[in-house]
Amino acid sequence: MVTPSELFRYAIHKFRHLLRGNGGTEELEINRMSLPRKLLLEAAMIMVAVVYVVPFYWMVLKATRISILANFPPDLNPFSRTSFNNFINNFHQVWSFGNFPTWYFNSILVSSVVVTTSVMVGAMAGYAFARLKFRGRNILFYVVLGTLMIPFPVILIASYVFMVDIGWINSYQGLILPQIASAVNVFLMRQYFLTIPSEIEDAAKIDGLRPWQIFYRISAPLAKPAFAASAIYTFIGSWNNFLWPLLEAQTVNYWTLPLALNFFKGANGTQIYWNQMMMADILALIPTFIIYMIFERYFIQGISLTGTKG
Amino acid sequence: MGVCVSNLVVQYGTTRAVDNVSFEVRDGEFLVILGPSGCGKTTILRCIAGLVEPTSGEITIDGRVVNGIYPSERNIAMVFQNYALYPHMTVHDNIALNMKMKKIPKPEIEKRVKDVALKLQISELLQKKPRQLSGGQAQRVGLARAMVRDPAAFLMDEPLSNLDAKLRNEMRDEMKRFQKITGRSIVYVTHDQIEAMTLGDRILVLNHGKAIQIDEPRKLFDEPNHLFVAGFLGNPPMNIMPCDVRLTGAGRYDMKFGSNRVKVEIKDSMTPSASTSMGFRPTDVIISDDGPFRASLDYVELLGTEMNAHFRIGEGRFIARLLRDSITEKLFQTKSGTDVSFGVRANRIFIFDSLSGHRYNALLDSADA
Repeated sequence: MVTPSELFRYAIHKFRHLLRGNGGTEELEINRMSLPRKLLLEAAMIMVAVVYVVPFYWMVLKATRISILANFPPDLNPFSRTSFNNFINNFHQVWSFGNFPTWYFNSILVSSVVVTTSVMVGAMAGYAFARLKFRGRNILFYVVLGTLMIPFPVILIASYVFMVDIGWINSYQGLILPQIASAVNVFLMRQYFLTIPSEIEDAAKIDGLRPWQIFYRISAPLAKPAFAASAIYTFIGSWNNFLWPLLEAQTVNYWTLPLALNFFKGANGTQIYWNQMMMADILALIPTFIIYMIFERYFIQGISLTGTKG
Repeated sequence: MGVCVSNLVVQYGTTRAVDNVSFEVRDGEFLVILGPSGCGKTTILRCIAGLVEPTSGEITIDGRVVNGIYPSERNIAMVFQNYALYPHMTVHDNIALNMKMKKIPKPEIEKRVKDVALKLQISELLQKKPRQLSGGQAQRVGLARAMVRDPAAFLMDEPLSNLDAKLRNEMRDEMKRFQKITGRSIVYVTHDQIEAMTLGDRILVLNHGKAIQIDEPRKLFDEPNHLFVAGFLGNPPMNIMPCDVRLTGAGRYDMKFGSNRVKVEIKDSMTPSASTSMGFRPTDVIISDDGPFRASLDYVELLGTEMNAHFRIGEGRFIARLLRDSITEKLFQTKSGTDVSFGVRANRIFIFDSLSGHRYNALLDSADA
């Protein structure tokens, strides 16, 4: 039988081969496998790949159609001349639809501010929990961990009412601030800082660095993988966040992309503009794709760091 | 000058990691702190460095009390067991960091880095990252980083423990050379007695956070003043045999172990009821038919030119480390359980109080079996 973890390692190995031409630590294990076993894994991978790729293919296909209705027989080629023209046409329509560039800008602004501040706060808090000694440290840490166990919908109403009371509905700070506090980032950072030998920091103290300098000159640079991992996950979470902006951004000016995508359903949900919605999807995916390409190395490290798949 | 530690106490909760330790490291002296793991030796070093705040006690470096002063301002440098180099910086930057922090002008930094690299033969490594170095090279960089600051004292925390045996021997010579070229006081922590004996001008033996004895290596070995030192130094360590004691006259005692008897004169006071032990080094045993003692042979191990003969006396056991000659060679043919006569070199028998570990000032009168 093929176990999921085996398949996962095999996939990562394949992926590394594709990107860098070397299979990493899994190389030996894979090379030792028998041919039938490799074929079995290969077949399983193809199946998984199909499951993942088909929706993307369908998205691109739909974005190259002019009508919202399905034709019969369907034209499955997204790369024909007409398809291309339709694609450009759909792009123009989506880009000029409502305040699409503003929504795009909002998404980028909110996500980038959330990522930078949340990661910085997470790193500093994580470092404090890992290295500094202060009264109530453990209790505070358990409180932070405790927030991990509360699902967002539970505090949704309370957060909303709070925002109403301080007058932050329809504002960037209202969109951004609640997303910054991330127990996951604090925890991830703390765990990573704990793996750095404390002698390195002792050496730094003797070399004349003050605690704050130790953090930004020694420990933070050594925690790069943890920074990257939490940045990626925070970005994905914030970029895809639908529920909070839905409550917070009540005028069109403060919408982010997930809200905009929802809008292509048409008023009252009577008609769904599939081609434009898929076009908007593609546009919304571009930043995620770019970030993924840049941080691929850390992305895989991040998976092994957190033990979860985002 | 040098380093002076007085009445140092470090307490964690109810346990005393360091229990009222005082000692002095003279200017230019190589002092080794020796003890089993967990005895508090590293804690003492970290107190001197300022990485651990002592519960009480005073630390003086170069005549200045440094309690509460930040580590970098204590005029010391430290070398760590796991090297503790900054992994993301080149060797050059590792060495230069403390001067950069002190805002020393760049040309001066370059000159001093080059200088120290030349002295420790790491010039060709300056542009490498720590993970590209072997253990020996990494520790040399650690030494360079310490040396470049020209401190009043070097603190070394088992700097050779992470190296393999062959490299450790090489680096031991290097440490000796290091002391010569720097001419500074060195406080060196180790659990390796060979390292301690070969490197130390003096050795401080530590156990359970208490200073047991501080002395030159030779005196420590030849005249241990405590049961712990006797049982810790030497390989194999000193044989310790429990004895029965009987007062026979003023200051005169009869000591029995098995059927063997020793008459001693003890100059300091001893209560006859006290539990007492007798100690002698395996190398001080002489096998001879007219020896005063008898023990039954257990088994013999061949080591090459030497041998270990294991004996029993009642419940007690001891080892004799013997050179192979016409007499000792016979032991190989001797059956296990046979009684063998032996003696111990003159003045090489020590009497200890088994409970306090204190060594009595004893003079041997006579011995017989």
